[in-house]
Amino acid sequence: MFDAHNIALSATETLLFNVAILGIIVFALLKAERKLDESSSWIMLGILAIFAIGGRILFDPLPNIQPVTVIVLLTGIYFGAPRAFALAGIVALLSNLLVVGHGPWTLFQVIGWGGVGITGALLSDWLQTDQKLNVNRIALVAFISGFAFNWIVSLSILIQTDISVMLPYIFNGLLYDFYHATGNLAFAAWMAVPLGDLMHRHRITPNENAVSRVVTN
Amino acid sequence: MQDLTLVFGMVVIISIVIMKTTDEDNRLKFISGAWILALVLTAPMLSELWASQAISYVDDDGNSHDGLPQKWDGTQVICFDFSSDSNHPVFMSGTTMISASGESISVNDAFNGSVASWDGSFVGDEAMTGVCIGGLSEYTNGFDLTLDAVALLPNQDLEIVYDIGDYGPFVTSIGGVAQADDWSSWWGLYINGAEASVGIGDLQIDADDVITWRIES
Repeated sequence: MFDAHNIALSATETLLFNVAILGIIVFALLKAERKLDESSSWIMLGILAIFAIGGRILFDPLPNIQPVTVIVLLTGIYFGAPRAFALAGIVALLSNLLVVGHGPWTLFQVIGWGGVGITGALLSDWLQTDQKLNVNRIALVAFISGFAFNWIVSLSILIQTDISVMLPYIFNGLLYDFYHATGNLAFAAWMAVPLGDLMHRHRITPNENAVSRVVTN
Repeated sequence: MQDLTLVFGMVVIISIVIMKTTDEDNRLKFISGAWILALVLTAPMLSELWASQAISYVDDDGNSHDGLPQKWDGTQVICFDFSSDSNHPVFMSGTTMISASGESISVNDAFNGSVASWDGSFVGDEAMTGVCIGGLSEYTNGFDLTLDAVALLPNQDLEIVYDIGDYGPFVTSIGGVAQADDWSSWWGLYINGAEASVGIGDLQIDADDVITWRIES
């Protein structure tokens, strides 16, 4: 009997299948997004969480290359630190539980990605020029965030070992930090503008609401 | 190494060409894409190169040969420590020193293995029970050294049982002493007295390194 669930795929083949799956998810969600209420920022956050979790799992065959850091950074810019932090938590926990592996390091990942979100929120003005994203500045912050995030997560080994192990451990990981940072650069270059447009449409705009209420009265 | 120089030399040239020919909006997209492609394709080579650099950085502090036969100085040694289990039928007391030709040279009752335990505390006070095989040379990979060293012993006294997982070979049993199914005991890997930061299949070794396998609980 031919067993359709027992096909051994190489890493490259797995990746191609994953990219196809991710393409379908992104395409379907982008179609659906057009029908969304302009002010539904919470649904937008849900969609971003799906992008991030899906992206993290599906890019798993590539070493340390995943879109979460850039998505959280953009969320910080458009939706502020608290929501970016919440998104970081949900994405880290769910993707770890589903595939990548959950353990004490998950907390450090939440803090690391949350920190990236806070950075986005704090630098929000600098990262935009004339209401438009400044992709070069975002790429720079995303690149640095790759290293910063990994070092924060590396602190999780202190639960088991003492501080003297830290430096060799960080040194050992520098190559993987570089993969993360370069991946962020690419995700920033390719995704920042389209994702930014998406988020901008569902940005919370309290002023407009206030104005319309006054007008109807 | 030459392949790597070639690949990254080409990426630098491609990046410069993109810089000169592409408009500013697309520059970063194509340059980051080229870098990601090169990094992903060379990932196995790069990580091997990096691991060999990292191990010379976390080098031997000079003490790892203490207590071993003097003629083993500057050679590669592999030790198997059964002390926290002491169920090995042959190596029940002291540490038996075995030469590269498979002959028993001596038994050291006070050899402590200079091993810091997995949680960072030093177990040096406790004498090791087990076996060391030394005077080996020219190994670059920890797994090759492990398999060849145990093959020197008669009667499969140190038979290695391992699984091949996503992260390479994983040793589950040595000389009939197996890790517990519930992980209450397991085989820990050390290099020059410090816990190895990579698996045995990825462990790069220098000319005078001492590897220790230790049953942990």
